[in-house]
Amino acid sequence: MDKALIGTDGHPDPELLIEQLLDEYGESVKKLAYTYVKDWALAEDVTQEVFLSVYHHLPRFRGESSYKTWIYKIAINKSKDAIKTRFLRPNKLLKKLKAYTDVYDLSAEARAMDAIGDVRLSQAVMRLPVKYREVIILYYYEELKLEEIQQLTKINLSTIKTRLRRAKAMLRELYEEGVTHG
Amino acid sequence: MDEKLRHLKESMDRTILRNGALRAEEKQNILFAIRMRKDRRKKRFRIGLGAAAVLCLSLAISLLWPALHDLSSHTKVARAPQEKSLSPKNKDQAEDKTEQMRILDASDPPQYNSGFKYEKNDTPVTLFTYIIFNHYYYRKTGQTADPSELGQEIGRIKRTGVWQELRSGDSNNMRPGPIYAIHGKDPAEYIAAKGTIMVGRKMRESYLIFKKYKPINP
Repeated sequence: MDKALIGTDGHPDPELLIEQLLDEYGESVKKLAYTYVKDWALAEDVTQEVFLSVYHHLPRFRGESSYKTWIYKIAINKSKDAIKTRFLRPNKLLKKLKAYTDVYDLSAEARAMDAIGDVRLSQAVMRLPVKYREVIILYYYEELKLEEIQQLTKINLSTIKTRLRRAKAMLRELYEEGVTHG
Repeated sequence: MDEKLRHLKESMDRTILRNGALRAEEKQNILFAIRMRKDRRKKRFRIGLGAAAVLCLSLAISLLWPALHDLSSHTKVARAPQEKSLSPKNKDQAEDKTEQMRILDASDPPQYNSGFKYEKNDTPVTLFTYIIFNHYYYRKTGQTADPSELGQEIGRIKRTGVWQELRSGDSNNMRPGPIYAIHGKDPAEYIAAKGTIMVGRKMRESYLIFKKYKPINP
């Protein structure tokens, strides 16, 4: 995919390229952002910010990494920024309420589907502190290698391994004790 | 747990991330935001470019202004002799103006004669060069006479300056020396005396013609 986006002259049309990147990675970015901010509206905003940034920096993209790695890196940074500033947002309460409703609806639907395991696991992951949730998502959900995670997050390899081990232990406990609302 | 985590993507996509699809309208919003920002940047760039152009122009004008001003002054100076040669009337006016400017610019300007009262539309005596002859002001005309045109000596300039009590032989500007009649002209109306005139940028000695103007005690 990445190679296909580059034109024959090596300089793809930015407008065309951003559309293709949006098609290819838009959803992944939005989901990745959600795993950080736990709020779909905020995740949408982050996604927009990510692609604005991608568009702005496209001329300086040297192709040293894949588009995916580059975009994910921006997405992670923007999501972390959003977490830091989310408490300043005026509609915080409204969004919390919406998030609560989402979980409630999800539980009802999940019960209907009898997919208890999926729900428990997902909600356990989302209850992890962000630094543990991050490595679990990148490693298991995005299926990135440890080196790629290191490249994206700029965290030491040993720290990533430690966090993964601790995250799994915490997940196990959360999963066992069951999921309550929120 | 490891086995469950290996299927984390499916689990989360089926449950908590099932609403994560990027809808067409979201995509359009993002593309719209990109275009808007691009337009804003273009606008900002154009405004910046315009401001820079105005600034450069102002700077260029301020730097070149002294040069332009000098050029304009030189053009005026170069035109002055041509204007003088156009007609005797213009020549008179130009000479008078030059004379007036010279007197006004002097570091120690002459004082008004307290005994002289000039009428409305009258030129103050301090603003032209004169010779007192036979109790009359003789005002400089701006014209010159050739030495061959000079008649006999009819008087002398005896003192130069501005005096409380004027008498024949006084002049505010002319050096002491003889006063001549002019051939072909009434000596009561026109007289001549040796002085200097500006030719181009150089001073030259010449016989200046003076015309009867008004009595010193009207």
